[in-house]
Amino acid sequence: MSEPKKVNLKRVPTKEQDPHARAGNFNEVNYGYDAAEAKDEAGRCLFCKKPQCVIGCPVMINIPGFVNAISKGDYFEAYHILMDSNVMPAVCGRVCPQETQCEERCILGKKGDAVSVGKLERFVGDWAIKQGLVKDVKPVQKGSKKVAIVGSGPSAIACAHDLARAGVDVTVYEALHTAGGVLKYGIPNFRLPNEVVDIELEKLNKLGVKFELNKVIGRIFTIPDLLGKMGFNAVFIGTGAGTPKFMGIPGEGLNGMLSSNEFLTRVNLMEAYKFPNVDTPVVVGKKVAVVGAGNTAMDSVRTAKRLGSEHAMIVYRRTEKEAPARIEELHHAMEEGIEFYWLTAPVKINGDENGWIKSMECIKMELGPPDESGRRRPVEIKGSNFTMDVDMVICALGTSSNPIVAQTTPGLKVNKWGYIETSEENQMTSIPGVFAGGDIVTGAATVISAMGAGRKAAAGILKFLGI
Amino acid sequence: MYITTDDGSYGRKGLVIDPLKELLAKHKDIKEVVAIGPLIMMKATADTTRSFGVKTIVSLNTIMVDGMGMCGGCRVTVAGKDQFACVDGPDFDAHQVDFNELMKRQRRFVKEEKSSLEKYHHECELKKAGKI
Repeated sequence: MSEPKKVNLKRVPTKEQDPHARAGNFNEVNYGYDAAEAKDEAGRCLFCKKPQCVIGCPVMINIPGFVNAISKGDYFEAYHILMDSNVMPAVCGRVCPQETQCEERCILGKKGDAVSVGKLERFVGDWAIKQGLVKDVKPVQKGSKKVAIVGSGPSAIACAHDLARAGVDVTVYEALHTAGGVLKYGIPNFRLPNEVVDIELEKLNKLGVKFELNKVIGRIFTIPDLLGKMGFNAVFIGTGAGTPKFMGIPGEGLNGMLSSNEFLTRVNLMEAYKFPNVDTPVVVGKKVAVVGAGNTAMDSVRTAKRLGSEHAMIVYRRTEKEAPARIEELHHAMEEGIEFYWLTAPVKINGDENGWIKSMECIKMELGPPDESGRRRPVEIKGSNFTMDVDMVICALGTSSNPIVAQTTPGLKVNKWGYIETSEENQMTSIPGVFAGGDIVTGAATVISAMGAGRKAAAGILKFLGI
Repeated sequence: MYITTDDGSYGRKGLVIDPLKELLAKHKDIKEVVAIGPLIMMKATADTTRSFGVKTIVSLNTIMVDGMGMCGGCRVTVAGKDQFACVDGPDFDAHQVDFNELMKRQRRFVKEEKSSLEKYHHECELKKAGKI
């Protein structure tokens, strides 16, 4: 037996782009590990006999396995261990909230820094991309079973991957002109470059998955069409986050008032910052208030800053402590000069004679006793109203369910919020052969939990098809 | 079919609402009017039929990004409520639509539309001249 190894409580840091420089560009903030750094960091892992990190992972990646492979310098092995559970390591390594999942349960975290599982995962994903391993993915011989997948975001990708690997003939129907869903339209390039998503998606192409773009299911075809005349044996619905929520306060019809979905889609997917060299414009204010404090709010406010806003502000009715964004994203935003208005709630948006926003009236809040979500409920402080000088307001308040699929699928059971009801066991809906997963089932959640649901549904579909 | 043109170059010179008013006055049994076209025409139609108390449907084509409920850019106030033209519409009761707000909203990219058009014409000229 070898000597008991010395525990290193300090995490190997990753290099990041200078905050001042990056606030003016869309290049990635975090550079990730190089090989030497990755090896050092992987060497910190205790390789626990009963690894808690794996339990914390929604797709149960064999974390000690891939970390051990890195520490031995066998990146190929590490990549294959990751791919067994997660088709997109370069994506998840970047956007998973590891600090509340695998890393939160890491034993090292009790005394010092948890192993940087996310950054190690990204290292392997990026290494595989650089090596061109995607090209080596071989198509799997297709059997007689056909499955249609509605949507091409994280849940759909995970589901399609597992099905295709099992020899199912998979067709993905995507409403937009490009695949990837929220990974493309939602998450900005400075956090997740679109080309990383494209390369990861290429694996599905290579596996033989067919993509039908520009096809809104519920409009061009319905779920009954897919199961009926189009001959699919099963369907997976992964249509994702739905329609954006607004505040319901006066002035939301004014120009300069956008949902984060609209703002981010214009910029990330349609590259409106290149206008007029692209067709989609975006009008960015000089004083931008983003309402909300989740990851999407941070993405929106940091995007506004990068597009030249002089004051890019977060307005949130609770405090920094309750903000749902990842700590890393909050820190990055602070470093970049984002201004924060905590304990502040908008009450009214004021416009000029042409219908453009000129200011926003807010009220100060204080925290009362916890509500049903366990977070302390914000309560208005009477008479504390004040007016903020703004010319753009972006609502990043989450989404409600998109009604298109449910409206056009008789017999599909949804809950009172319009989200699709599925079986705990296999993600099957009220209609036999129709499965669902991701945000259209749970409401807004994470990339990786959607992928977990997609994988569970794939297993359910395979069983349903007798494969 | 009743055709009107602004300059009288085809059909009758005038606005859509001119023959519409006459028809509504003459045919008391008209139950429904459907208007599809520019916002200003739909607004004028709604104002015309309102006084006759005839049910009117307009089909709104507001500015959209994805057209499937994701962006909320197409929202319009109908009967005091926020509606998305793409998934809640596009057909709405014309008498409930807040056309004044909507017409301002439809102008939010006027500057960009102009610069885009200029760029297009510029490129056309260059192409014609064989420069690109």
